[in-house]
Amino acid sequence: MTANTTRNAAEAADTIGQAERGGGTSVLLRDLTRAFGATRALDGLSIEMAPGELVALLGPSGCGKTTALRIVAGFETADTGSVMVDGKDISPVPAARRDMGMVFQSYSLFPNMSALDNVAFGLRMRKIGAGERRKRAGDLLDMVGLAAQASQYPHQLSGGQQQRVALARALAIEPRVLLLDEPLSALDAKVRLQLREQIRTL
Amino acid sequence: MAAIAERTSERIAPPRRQRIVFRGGTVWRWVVLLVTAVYFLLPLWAALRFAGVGAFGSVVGEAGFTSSLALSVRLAVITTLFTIALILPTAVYVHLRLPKLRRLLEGITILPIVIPPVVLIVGVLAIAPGVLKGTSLLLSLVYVVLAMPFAYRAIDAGLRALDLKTIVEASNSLGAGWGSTLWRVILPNLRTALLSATVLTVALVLGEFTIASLDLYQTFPVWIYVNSQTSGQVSVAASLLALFVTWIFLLAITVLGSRQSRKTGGGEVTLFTVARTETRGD
Repeated sequence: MTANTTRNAAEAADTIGQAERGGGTSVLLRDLTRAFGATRALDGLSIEMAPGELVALLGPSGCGKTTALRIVAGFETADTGSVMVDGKDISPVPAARRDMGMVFQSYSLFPNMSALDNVAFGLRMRKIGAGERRKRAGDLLDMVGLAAQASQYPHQLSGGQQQRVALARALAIEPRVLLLDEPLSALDAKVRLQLREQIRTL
Repeated sequence: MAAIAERTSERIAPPRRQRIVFRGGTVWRWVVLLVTAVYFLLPLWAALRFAGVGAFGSVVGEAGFTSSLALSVRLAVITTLFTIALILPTAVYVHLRLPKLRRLLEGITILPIVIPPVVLIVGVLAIAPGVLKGTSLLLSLVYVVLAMPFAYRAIDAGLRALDLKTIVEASNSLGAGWGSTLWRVILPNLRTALLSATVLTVALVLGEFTIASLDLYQTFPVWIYVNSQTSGQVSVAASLLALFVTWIFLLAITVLGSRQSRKTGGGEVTLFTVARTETRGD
């Protein structure tokens, strides 16, 4: 992988962003290798990210950006190498307990839940009471400018709105690390610009 | 942040499917409808005339009515539970982990349609362990095999309409384990598909004759047949009743399904396909 690691570049490539809450978390990728058959998606990728840092991975499609993110999120395992979060190797930790917010390339909202319930889902999994859950989810929807759409279902929202709900949903669990996998690729240029600014201000 | 406030919030009406209109189309449409209606309704009307309204009252009191209906309903319930418990996890697993096997599985699940029921039951009776032979459970298990093509297709269609991999991963990343993901994310989105699978399975079990009769069980269809030897009118009335009950079932499922689908935008609901409506862009 030609890892063009550009700091603070919110260019619409994959972005490994650091959540700035709770003092921040450091992430260290060490010698990650992953091959799919004959294709080597990752070949000795190492990145060091300080707490609170926003890092963007740039590169042509198929160069392994998504694979790197998926390994950090726990959806994929590396053939060799390790991922350290705050100095601890997280390879044995399943995705559900990694505490990482992720926004996906494709639309990923749960079709059976309203925007508010989508954002509140992670809190529900953390056994947070209904009142508190609704309040926090409401605040986050407000932050992404979708307070008025709280009770709408994903199919009633536009692509940009869906990705903003997905962003709010990922932030709701106050993740240690926020992973954005080309969250803007499904959107047109204008919306992309707006949302990019919004992500940068986080 | 306010700058991003919605400017495109008014909903765009979904494009209407263009109607194919040709000259004299309206007339032909009515002719086709009429012919079809006659084809389907004439036998029913004849049956109704033959049975007479009075026969419906005596159906219920007929010997064997209650027990055979109860047996059929019990078989339908057990078969449905088995079928869904078997097919749902399999289909989900194949979609997520073994997408390459989807073709193969589709091929395998169609087999029961190709194999004649007589062959199936004769084969099963020859090899079934003695413990099962005397019980109606064996019949249920055979019905599970028969229902597989329908149930698998219904559930597969439901899964195809979802971006299963992404929503499962989203659910995982939000802290949901496998149980919660299946229960709160996958199942609610498959409601229509599961309803379809249920209806098809129930309808199949309530109407199956060959296997039940060869396995020497007096299910409802078998009872209707046996009864027709002695009192034709009552058995015809019973058939009409069975038809009506099944029809009510199907109607209820379709209504339920389309209501759910309107809410979550699942698209048109039919028994086999859950067509996906595209998300509109910005």
